[in-house]
Amino acid sequence: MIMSKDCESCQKKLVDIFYNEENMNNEVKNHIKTCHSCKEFFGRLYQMKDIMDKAKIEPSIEYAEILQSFKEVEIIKEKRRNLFDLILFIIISGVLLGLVALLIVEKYLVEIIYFQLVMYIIIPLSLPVIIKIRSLKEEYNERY
Amino acid sequence: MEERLVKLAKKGDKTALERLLQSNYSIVKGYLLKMTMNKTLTEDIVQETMMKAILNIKKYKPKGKFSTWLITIATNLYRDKLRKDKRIIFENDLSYHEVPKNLEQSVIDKIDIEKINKILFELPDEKRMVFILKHYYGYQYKEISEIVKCPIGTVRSRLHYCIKQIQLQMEGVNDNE
Repeated sequence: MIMSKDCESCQKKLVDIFYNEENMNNEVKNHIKTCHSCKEFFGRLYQMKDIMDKAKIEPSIEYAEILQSFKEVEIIKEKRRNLFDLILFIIISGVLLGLVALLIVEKYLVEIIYFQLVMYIIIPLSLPVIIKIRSLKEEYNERY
Repeated sequence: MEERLVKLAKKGDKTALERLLQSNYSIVKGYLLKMTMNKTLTEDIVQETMMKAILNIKKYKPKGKFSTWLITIATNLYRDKLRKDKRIIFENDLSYHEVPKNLEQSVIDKIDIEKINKILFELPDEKRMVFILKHYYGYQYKEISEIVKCPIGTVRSRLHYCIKQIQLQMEGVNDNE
C-alpha cells in the first residue's frame, strides 16, 4: 500500500505521541478524524502495546552476582598493582644497570669493584648494629 | 537519592555503589535478556557490565540517570560480543516472567511470549535496541541517542521501522491463526 506523505509524517508523529515524546496537536487530531489508515494505525499501537507487554521481563536482583563482581574487580586491581610494581622494578633496575655500564665505559671498573668489596664487608658488619636498633625499638613498643 | 549515592560512590563508598548497582540490576539484565534472548550470554554481559562500572565509577560524569550509563556499557559489551561471534543462539525460554495464575493461561502466555520474542529477535540488532529501550524501559529519544550513539532522528526512524515490522509480523501471526 502506498502511503501519502501526510500519512507518513502523521504516523511518525503518532508514534512520538504514543511514547510521550510529543503532545497531541490539532493538526494530528484533524488528520486522524479524516484519515482511516492513520486512525487504524494509532489503534494498532495500543493493541501492539498490550501484546508486547506480555513479554515484559523483570529479573530479580542477584545480590551474589553483584558481590562477585566486586570480588572480581579486587582481583583485577591486585593484578594491575602487581604489574605496576613489576614495571617499576624493571625501570629502576634498568637505570641502575645502565649507570653501572656507563661507569664501566667511563673506565671506573676498578672503582666499582672496590666499592662492591667495601659494601660486601660493611653490610655484614652493620648487621649487629641494625639488630640492636631493631630490638631497642621493639622493646620500646612493648613498654609503651 | 540517586544523585547522593553517585556522589558517595565516586568518592569510593563501596556500599553506595553496591546500592546503585542493586537498584539498576533488573533494568540492565532485563534489557540484555531482551537483546540477546540468551540467558548465558546475558549473565556474562551483566557481570562484565557491573565490573566495568565498579572499575570506572570515578570516571563517570553524571549527566542523566545512572541506568543510562550502565545500559551504555552493556550495549557496548553486547556489540563487542556480536563482533566476535555473530551467531547468538536464540533461547525462547527465558523463564524470567511472572508466574501465571492457571495452567491454561500459562500455556497461552508462553506461546504468546515465544512469538513476541521471535518477532523481536528477527529485528536488526541496532533497531531492536531502540525499540526495547523505548517500549520496555521508557527512555527518552535523547537518552537513547546517547546510549546507541546516533542522532535523535535516527532513533526516531529506527523506532518507527520496528513498529512497522512488528505490526506486519503480528498481522501475519493473526492471519495464520
